[in-house]
Amino acid sequence: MRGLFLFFILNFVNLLIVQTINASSNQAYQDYLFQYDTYRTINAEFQTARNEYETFQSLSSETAALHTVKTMMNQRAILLRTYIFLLKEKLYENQGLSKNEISSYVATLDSELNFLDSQKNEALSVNSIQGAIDVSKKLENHNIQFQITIDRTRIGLALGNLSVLSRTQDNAVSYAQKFLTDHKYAYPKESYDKISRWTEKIVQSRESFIQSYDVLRQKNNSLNPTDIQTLTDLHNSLLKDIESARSLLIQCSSYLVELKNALKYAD
Amino acid sequence: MNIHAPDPQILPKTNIPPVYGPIRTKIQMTTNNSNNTFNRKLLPFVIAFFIITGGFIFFEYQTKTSKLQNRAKLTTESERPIPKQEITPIPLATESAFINFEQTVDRMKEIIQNSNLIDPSVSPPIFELSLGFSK
Repeated sequence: MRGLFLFFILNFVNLLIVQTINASSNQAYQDYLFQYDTYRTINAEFQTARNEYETFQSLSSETAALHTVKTMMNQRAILLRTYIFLLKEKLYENQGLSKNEISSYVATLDSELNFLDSQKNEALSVNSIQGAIDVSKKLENHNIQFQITIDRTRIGLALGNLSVLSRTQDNAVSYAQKFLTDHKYAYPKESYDKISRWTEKIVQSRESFIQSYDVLRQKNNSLNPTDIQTLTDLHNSLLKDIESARSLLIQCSSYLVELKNALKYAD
Repeated sequence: MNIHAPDPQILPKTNIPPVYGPIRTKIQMTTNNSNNTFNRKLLPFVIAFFIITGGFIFFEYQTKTSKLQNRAKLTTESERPIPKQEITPIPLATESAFINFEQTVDRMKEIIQNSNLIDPSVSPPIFELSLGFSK
């Protein structure tokens, strides 16, 4: 009786944890959307003030431009921080990545958070337009590193999702292998030979998927371009490769379907 | 006449002769429980019990007899040459395991084809790096 009570309590706690995990990702996404909207509004105000300052060069317009640029830079740092928090939550929720992989991605994201914290503090302590330009220049210089971190994490998340699919297929393949071992003698020998040929194809297809997955992971880890355009090209190429890897999984699925049919119509 | 001779044992004429017919005496059951008499309400159940038991015994007898007859038939038929037919029996456990396998494959195929690998919610924000001041 006591054990049963404990079992229900543990189940309840487990459910609460699962809900918290989903809620934290959703919450992070909602925060990100809110901060993005705020940034857009503040940036529009800053552009108006900057244009006025550029046109009139008056003291009041300079004060307004300085005030809005500080607010905009602060909000920009907040927006990027919120986005990094969202990526971190997505990493924690990803079922296809190992703990080590998650730790590695989180470590690089944390270093970006530190940079953004300093950027935020510096933006608030700026007291001239030139000072604002200097602080913003630091972000511009750091931008390539920042974009690499973001792209690596995004590709990592996609690889994690691919790994989840691969695991689902692995379960089906294992089930098929166990079924064939357990019920080998339920089928005539001729049919069983035909079935075995499909099994070989499935194994080969799985091996080629694992190879391409490893190559993708290595490419993502060694992602280190020097400019944004190259980074964008590499990112798109990796996305294409991920889709190709998925097509290998689809091919393997079709072999499994063939195996299923061979078993179904074996006589 | 001997006076000392014993008198003949002659019954007096007034005596009623004994009747040697069947003697009917009412035997009364002397039990402690007067309710222990046979309950007539149970009669249909008793009859039903006997019918069912009888039917069961009859059925068993019939089955055994027919089995013996069949065996006798088979032994006579087996002497004749019959073309050999190979049938691969697929046991029930195999069928249920196959249904599970079929469902697993179908589900897996659907998941692989329809799931999104790239999460649209993690698209990065577009922001301006340069402040855009002319000097």
